[in-house]
This record gives sequence, structure tokens and C-alpha cells, in this order.
Amino acid sequence: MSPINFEPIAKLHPEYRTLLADLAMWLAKRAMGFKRERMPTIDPRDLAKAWPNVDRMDLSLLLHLLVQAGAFRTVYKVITPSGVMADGEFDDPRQIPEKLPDRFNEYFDTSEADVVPILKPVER
Amino acid sequence: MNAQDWANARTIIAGAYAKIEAGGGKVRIKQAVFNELTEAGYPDLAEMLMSYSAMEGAVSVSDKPIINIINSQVGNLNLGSQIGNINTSLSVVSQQGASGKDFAEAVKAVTEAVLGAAELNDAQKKEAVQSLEFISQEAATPPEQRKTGVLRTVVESIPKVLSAAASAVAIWAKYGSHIRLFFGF
Repeated sequence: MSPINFEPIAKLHPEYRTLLADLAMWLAKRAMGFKRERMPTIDPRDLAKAWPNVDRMDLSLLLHLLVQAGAFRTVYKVITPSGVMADGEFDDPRQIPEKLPDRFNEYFDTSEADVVPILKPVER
Repeated sequence: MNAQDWANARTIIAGAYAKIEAGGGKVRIKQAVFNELTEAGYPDLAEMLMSYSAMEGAVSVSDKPIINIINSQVGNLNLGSQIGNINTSLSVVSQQGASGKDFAEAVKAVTEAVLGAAELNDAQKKEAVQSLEFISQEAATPPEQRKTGVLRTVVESIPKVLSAAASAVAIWAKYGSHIRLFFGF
């Protein structure tokens, strides 16, 4: 895994230095679970569960800073009725179509589904 | 973003999130609120709103922190990330039927016993919590990918670490079998 250098972000936003350090460790731990070394994606729901005592507004800003710094990009994925992510990913939630196939290739109505942003590392 | 900007941004995001909640929180309403913020010249806030909304939705009542740390129990020990990892893993495992629920309940009971055991010193508490973190993470991993040999050794080491604390030993005697049973040994 080529670690992302959070220092430039921490210099611009020193109030988030500790949180950035914690995030770097969290990412490193998650990366160890992969067979191939690579930076893992970030699902904000996992962060919220891992850090239940951290203000979620602050976490939202932190994730935004990562995107703004060019380290990650955001894609949007839809949760199927059975609770897993559908395969398609969208750069903008407004691009989500009315119907999408689930894992069994059966189409479901996305209006009753949920959408989550996923942060993907930007390959350099 | 300075402090004032951030304070304003929080207010805007909170207001937009309230609209999402009132509308049922599904895709269509999120798309509409996202669009509203973007067209009002706040694309950054629209993006933050989506993360915030996902995080708020993720922490339902059943997913609230399973293990609560009381400051006095851990003294100067910083076990926040380990406890966070245990909670995350237990949230996953507790969805895996009755044995998963029993396992989650057992790890929760043992972890809380460790944190509350006055007879254990900081190093012993840290070692025990790290072991519980490891077995929780392994439990959340598909069986075929588990490091079974290491896992068995770590599980067997826990009662030895706890032996200095009668209360924790009693909790292990009650719950340890659930942990072993879950892993099949």
C-alpha cells in the first residue's frame, strides 16, 4: 500500500491533525486485510460505527477535505432491498436511474432504496 | 473554511438533513436536496450532506456502541480505537444468527469485565483488550480466511491474562464457551 500523506491537509487544517492521524491508522489496519496491498475505500457508515463518539459533522468535513486534497474521489452507490450495495456507481447522486439490477440481476425501484457515498483512493 | 463559515455550513447541512429525514431518507429526496444545495452554490455542502446522512443512518439503535468505556475504568490507557474496532466487528458478527449474537454478547461481557477489573494493571488490560479486538475481527472475517492457529492461541491466552482478576475470571467461565463454540473449538 502506498500510504497517503495527510500532512499537507493537516497543515492547512491543524484542528483535524489528530483525527487525520487516527484515520491514517484506521486505513492502514483495513489495508492489512486485503490480499493485494492497496489503499482501501472509505464507507462513511464504517467510520461512524468505528468512531461513535466523534461528531459526524466533523467526520463529514474530514472526508470532504480528503476529496478536496485529491487523495480520494466520491462515488455514490445504491443499497439494494436486501441490504447490499448494487454494482453500479455514480459520480453524482442525481445520475442514479429509476431502476437498477440487484446482485441477482433483478431490477428494483431505486426511489425506495438508500444511497451512500463511497470514497475511492485516487491512483497516482 | 474558517470557524464562522463552518458554523454556517453546519447549520445548512443540519437543515438539509432535516428535510431528508422528513421525506423518508430515500434516494429521491436525497437527490432533490442534493440538487437544491448544488444549485444554491453549495456543491461542497451537498457532498458533505451525503456523508453525514449515511453516517447518521448507519448508527441505528442496534448499532450504537456496544461497549461503553467509563473514563475511570481505563485510567490513562487509550483504548478508544481498539474498543471502536471491537464494536465494529461485533456489529457485523451479531447479524450472523444466534451463535453470532451469543459471541457478540460474550465478547462485550468479557471486555467490560476487563475494563472494570481493578485487579488488572494497565498492561494486562491492554493485552486482554488487544486479544479481544483480534478475535472480534477474526469473527467478522469469513471462516475460510481466518488465521485459525493464531486465533486458537489468542483465545486460550485470554483466561491466563485475566487470572489476576476474580471477577473477570468468573465472566470468562460464564462466556468463554460461547467464544470457543463460535469458532468451533
